[in-house]
Amino acid sequence: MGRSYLGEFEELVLLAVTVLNSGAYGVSIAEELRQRANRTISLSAVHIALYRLEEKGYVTSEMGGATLSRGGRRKRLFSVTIAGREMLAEIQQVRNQFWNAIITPAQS
Amino acid sequence: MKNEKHISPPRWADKLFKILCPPELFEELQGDLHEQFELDVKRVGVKAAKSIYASETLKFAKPYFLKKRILTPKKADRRPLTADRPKMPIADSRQQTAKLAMLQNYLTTARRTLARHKSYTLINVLGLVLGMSCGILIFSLVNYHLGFDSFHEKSDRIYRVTSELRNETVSKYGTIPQPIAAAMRNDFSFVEKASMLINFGATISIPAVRNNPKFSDGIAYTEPSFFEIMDFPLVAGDKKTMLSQPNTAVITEQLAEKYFHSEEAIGKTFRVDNKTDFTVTGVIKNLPENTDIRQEIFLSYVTISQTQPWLNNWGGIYSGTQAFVLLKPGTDFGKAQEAMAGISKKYYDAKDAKEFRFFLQPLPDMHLNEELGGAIAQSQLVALSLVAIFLIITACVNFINLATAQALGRSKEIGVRKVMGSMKSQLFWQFIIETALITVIAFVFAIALAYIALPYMNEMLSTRVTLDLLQDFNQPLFIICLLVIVTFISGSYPGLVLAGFQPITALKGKLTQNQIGGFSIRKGLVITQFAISQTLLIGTIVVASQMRFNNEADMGFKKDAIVMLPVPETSPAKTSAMRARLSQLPEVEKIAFCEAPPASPDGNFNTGIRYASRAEDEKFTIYLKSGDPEYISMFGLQLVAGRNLAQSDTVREYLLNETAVKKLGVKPEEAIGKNVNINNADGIIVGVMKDFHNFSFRSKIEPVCLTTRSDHYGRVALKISGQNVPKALASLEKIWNETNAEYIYSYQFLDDHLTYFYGNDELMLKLMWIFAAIAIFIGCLGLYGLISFMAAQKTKEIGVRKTLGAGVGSIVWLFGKQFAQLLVIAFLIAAPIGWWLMNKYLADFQYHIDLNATIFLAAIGITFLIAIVTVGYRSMKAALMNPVKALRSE
Repeated sequence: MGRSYLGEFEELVLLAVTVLNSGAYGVSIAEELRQRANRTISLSAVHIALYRLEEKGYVTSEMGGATLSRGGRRKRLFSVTIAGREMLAEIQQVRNQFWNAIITPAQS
Repeated sequence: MKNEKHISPPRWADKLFKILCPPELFEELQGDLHEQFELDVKRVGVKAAKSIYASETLKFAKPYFLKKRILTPKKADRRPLTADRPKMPIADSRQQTAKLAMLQNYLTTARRTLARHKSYTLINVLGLVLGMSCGILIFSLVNYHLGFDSFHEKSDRIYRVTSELRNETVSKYGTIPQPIAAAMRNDFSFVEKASMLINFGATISIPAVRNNPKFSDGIAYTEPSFFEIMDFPLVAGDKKTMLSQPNTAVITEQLAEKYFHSEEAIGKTFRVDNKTDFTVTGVIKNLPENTDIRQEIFLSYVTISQTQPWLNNWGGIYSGTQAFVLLKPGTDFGKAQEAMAGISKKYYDAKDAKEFRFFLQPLPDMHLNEELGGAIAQSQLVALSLVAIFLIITACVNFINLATAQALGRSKEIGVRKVMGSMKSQLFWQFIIETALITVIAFVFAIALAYIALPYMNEMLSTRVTLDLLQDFNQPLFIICLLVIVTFISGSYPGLVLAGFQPITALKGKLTQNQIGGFSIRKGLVITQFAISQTLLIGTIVVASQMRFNNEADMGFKKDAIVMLPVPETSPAKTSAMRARLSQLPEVEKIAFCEAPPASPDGNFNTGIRYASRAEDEKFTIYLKSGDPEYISMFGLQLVAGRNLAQSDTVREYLLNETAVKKLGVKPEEAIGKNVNINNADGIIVGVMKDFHNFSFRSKIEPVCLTTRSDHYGRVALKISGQNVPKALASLEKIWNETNAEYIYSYQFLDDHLTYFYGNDELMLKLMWIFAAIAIFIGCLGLYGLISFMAAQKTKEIGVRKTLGAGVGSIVWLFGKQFAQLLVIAFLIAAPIGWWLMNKYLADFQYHIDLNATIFLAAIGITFLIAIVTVGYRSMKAALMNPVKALRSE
């Protein structure tokens, strides 16, 4: 069985999880995406992406402590796994190859 | 944050979320949602945040979460949420797998069945779409009408004062004599605030702006307390003082923009009717769509209370005068109502106190009380809702019919399912899911259709209904109810029938029509459907004929080719100048200055009469009309005795109509030359006019008199001759503008003017056409579905009959006779109901058409014709089929 691949949105979410390091959960990820990708993000979409990523093994999660601002409800904090990092690196590499292929002939 | 007032997201959304969300994810997801909400509140404000929250919640209704939700075991397991929660819940328990598999199977079977029987699906969806979109539209309309003026914070304490005039008959008005607001304020301790509101039409000009632009807008004189009683939010100005000075005005934002463009409106001046200047001291927000207060210019009441003596007159009621009162909290409405009798006693003499009575009308009643000038009667709303329910029922009936008919074809599937151990309830739910699938598809289209049709409906009914599923929570609530109810009504009967099959007979394929839960029930349903559509049809035909009668029957005066123009200034000099200019036009055959045409929805003035030397006023009142001597020949009125009026600017002579003379108890000839006092002005009766209709055919011909009063000639009637009417109108406009440069031109044909009497009927007729058409269309869809199904079932029978020598005609009749029977039975039900309802409708008209057999024959004839067209094609096709093919089909 081959490796699972990532959709564009899943990739963005995975990147956001990586960037946020230990503070990644639904709202913070949605905020991050809103600011960086400058598009409307719905929470439900973020959560679906997170759960899918978790099922694919690219992120793990644990429940955080209770906080006051959420009416005492706990958050689920996500962090990227080694497989997740490898996947990101791989995607980056494939893209770089393509960019190089595009740019190089133009220069010569 | 702890110290701030806690703003919580909409509760209904929270509840919905709890239903949608898989329990094991509930805590973290809701936490995130709430946190997001708090962020949004800071960023975009409470209102926007709430709507974002609602839409975010709804977005959790995605298949991904729903699947998880459904898969969750019923006894919600409250295991601690930790990292080791199941990654793949599908593997959680065998039971769940089975459930999911069955659900998937149901959906797959449903999808396949629907796709296989495309025409069946199409017919069902089409019927439901039409029925449901009508339902949605009518609900929004009813909801809109019920919500009128409910936004005022104190609306439960606000009342309008109404009056009743009791002489020979009792007349009710939503309007009152002017001094009443002040009297209530002074006399009653339970009145917290009271305000007059007097409406006029006016010409507004703005001298300060270049070219002095003119507008025709409604104005209302009102007191400062008006804005403390009603809630019309201010944009600028001081609520307490803005209307306290003479010549001050409050206008809406929209008008401020229109008059003064983007400049600050406060302190600006405009002129009313080219006479009085008003300074803007307040600007209110644009009026909400659901209020009956439609004036956008409010002028200070002190401006006219000082100059107009008639404002202190208790004896007359001007049709634009309303009074609103705010009762103190805790006032008993019954007691307040009783106390109103005190007004008649205190301000009128003993005789008049019996005649003038005053009451309080709760604010919500204002829009729905047609008698007191409300826009729509409650009974009309009920009728509309009934029609909506009928249409939805017809669509459901279609569904039931087709589904049960089709059941025969699915007997094998049911048999196999049962043999494999399917429970009755499972089969039942399978069919409900199938129905739900169709309903949801239909539903999406229905909403789309409703959105498309909404602007047309608003235009037709001149309403401002909006369909906003996120703002108004009644609407989504209604829609969800509709979805559930339609699904269950349409799905449960076929479901029960199918689930009740005996597996053995089902598998043997030995089920017959009769075993599938009675053809008789289906017959009954078709009868219901057609009884409904025929009743609507009868109604439509009757209303249409009455409308034709209204427009075409002789009203006792001429109304063709008469144009009416306003006369803004009624001084003799002005009118004679106008007459001179107008008479030069070759197209103008005749000119008459008058107050109003013989029959008119406006300008009617009802007053007292005292005949000859009688000691007392007569018991009846008389309608006073004013016009110059040309009036009689202009409108083709006939005299039964005496002569026409002589030219005069003041009241000298009177013409009475026959009814008036009869009520006086004298012969027409006797009345000639007698003195009469009408509206406190003496004159001599010089002639008696033949009766003409002075109102719509709804009311009886009333006593009427005509006299010369040039200061009341607010209109000029012109008889136009020649072919080129547009040219004549253009020259009229030119002359009018030259003689009345200060005013805004308008014209109206007399017959158009008279259609105002029947505005509501016209609307009702249009609506009935539409609804009858939809009902018949849905009914025909059902017929078509049934006949197709029957044709398929009877392929073999037809084959056998044809080989044995049956002709096409006899086979078509095989189908036809059943439906003919049903239609006739439906008609027998519809006819008496239609007769009864329409008699009630016609009773409203004093002069009306008679219900005759032709109307009913037309109704059944039309239904038959449509049914034959629907059934005919399909049965012909079946009858013409090659019998060899039919018999070989095994």
